[in-house]
Amino acid sequence: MTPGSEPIAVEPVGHRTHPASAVVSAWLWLLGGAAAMLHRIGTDSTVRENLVVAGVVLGGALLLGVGFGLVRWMYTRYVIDGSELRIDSGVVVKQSRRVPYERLQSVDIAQPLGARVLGLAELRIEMAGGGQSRTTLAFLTRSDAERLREVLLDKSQSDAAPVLDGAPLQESADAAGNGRALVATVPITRLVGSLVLSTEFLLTAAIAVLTVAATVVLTVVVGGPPFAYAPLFLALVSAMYRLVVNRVVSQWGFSLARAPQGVRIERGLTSRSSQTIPRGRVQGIAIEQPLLWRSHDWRRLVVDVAGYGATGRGDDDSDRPAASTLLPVADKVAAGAVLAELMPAADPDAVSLHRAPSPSRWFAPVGWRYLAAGADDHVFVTCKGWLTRRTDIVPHAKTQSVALRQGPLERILGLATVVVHSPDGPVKAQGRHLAEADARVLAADQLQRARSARVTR
Amino acid sequence: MTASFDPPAGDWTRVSTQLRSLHRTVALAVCAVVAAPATVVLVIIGTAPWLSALPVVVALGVAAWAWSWASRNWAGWGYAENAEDLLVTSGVMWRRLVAVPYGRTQYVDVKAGPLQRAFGIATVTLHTASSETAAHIPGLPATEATRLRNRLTELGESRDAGL
Repeated sequence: MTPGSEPIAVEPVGHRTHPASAVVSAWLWLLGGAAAMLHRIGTDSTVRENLVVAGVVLGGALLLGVGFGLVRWMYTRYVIDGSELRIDSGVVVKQSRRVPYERLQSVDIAQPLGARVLGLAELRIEMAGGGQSRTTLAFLTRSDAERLREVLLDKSQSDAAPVLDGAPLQESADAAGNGRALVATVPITRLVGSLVLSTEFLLTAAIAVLTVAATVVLTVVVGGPPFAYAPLFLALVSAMYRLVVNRVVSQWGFSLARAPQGVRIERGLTSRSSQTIPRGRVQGIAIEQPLLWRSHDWRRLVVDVAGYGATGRGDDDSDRPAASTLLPVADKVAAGAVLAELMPAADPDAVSLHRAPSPSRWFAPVGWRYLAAGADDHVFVTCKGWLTRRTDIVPHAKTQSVALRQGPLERILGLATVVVHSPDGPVKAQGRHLAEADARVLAADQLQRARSARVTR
Repeated sequence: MTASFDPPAGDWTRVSTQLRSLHRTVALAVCAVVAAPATVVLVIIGTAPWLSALPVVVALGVAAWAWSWASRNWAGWGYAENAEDLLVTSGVMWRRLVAVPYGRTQYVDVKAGPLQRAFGIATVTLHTASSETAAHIPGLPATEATRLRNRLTELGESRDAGL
């Protein structure tokens, strides 16, 4: 039907994305047009005038948007060959993005609202390394995007034995369909409940309520200015809004399934996204347990995948915290199953931990009891926190480097901190304020363990 | 120096004393640049002689402290090339030891600003996929910096562990 839905094969000229991409990008122009209209609010123009202006501005924005989108679409092509995916784009400034398969970290499918209405999807490809590590290909039909993802993931997994072009495509698509044992879903009530009971949300909400109360007291009793705390209140509300977006809206209808290469996550209310996290690309996992979740034995799993944690650039950085969420909320059994799926050899509960000794109370008067670090044959584990208990897990095979740190106060108390570095992301394996000897031994052994893990991999 | 920050084997290779000289030169220059105009202004507006001397006294004090700080800071730096890892230690108050397996090298930087070049030294930084690694060694003689970069790049390639 469309150029994009032909079978994907090697072809020097390359494929085009879906022509309707032009329309999707026009959404933004429409929004811009609508924003430009805002200044007319409050002017004393008639309804009729307003309608005419609105028609002209919005129509013009739409035309411009579609026009630009169409030109961009015409100049965008992608090529899949034996060693890399290449995306050529740009009208004035030509750009050619190359994605070598072995550097590919994960491939996600995202459906922003505008694209979702038209049944289109965007492919987001994360590569290792700093700078522009994310490459997007927009937009394809949903089925094309899924097929292309299978091809890319297949090729990235078989570094040593390149897949023959063409033939395995059908197979991999079948495998994706059949091997989909569902591991976990999150009901919406639990999602909302978990947010309401989370330490971050409760604290923010409590401060917001206090702010309102303080304002009321100030205005009614003292007769002060009514909006003294307005900036603080707005900041708190926006923090809560971000929490709701990250924890509820973007995790809506969450499901995690077993995929041939690792696990697949589908989530999102307005814009759906479908992430595949390949098993070999998991750099670390952290388990978080806020205070009030403990009565339900709930926990959250976040994951480090190179590329997800990169900050600063990108079209929608707001999606990154959500993308790093492996499981928004789950009980012990489900979380254990997901952990076992991605780190088959890891058993964080069985690792013998070095606890921080009592002098560390100078750094953490309450939390020092929960500070600990340790390692077994497969993973390095650190624990911390009392309001939100947290366990960070880094497999030895993924250890980037190891650091030992000691500040002046730590030196006086005979303490030291050991850190196992993993690629940038939410996982921070820091064994803080341990006994100096323990820290030194942990760091030295970690080097040895990481070395043997790299050899046997 | 506590034993915790000794290398697992052998001794630390110290960085060039030119790093110390660089820090001292910069400190003295800053003190002079701040103190001299202040003194001139105070003399011109004709304050008491002891007040006019104050900037000079303060600058001398700061310079003396910076002089000894440069020496301690220099002694804090050290690196060791083990069979499998690069070890870098730094800091006096806040001590740090980082060990980077060669196979984790993503790329190696050599940087030398105009001042560093004037003192014939350079900074080598080993980057891994984690930005926390921050394994940089300042104050290497230019030839040593080049040698270290070549060796680290070579070892990184031959032991490449991917991600």
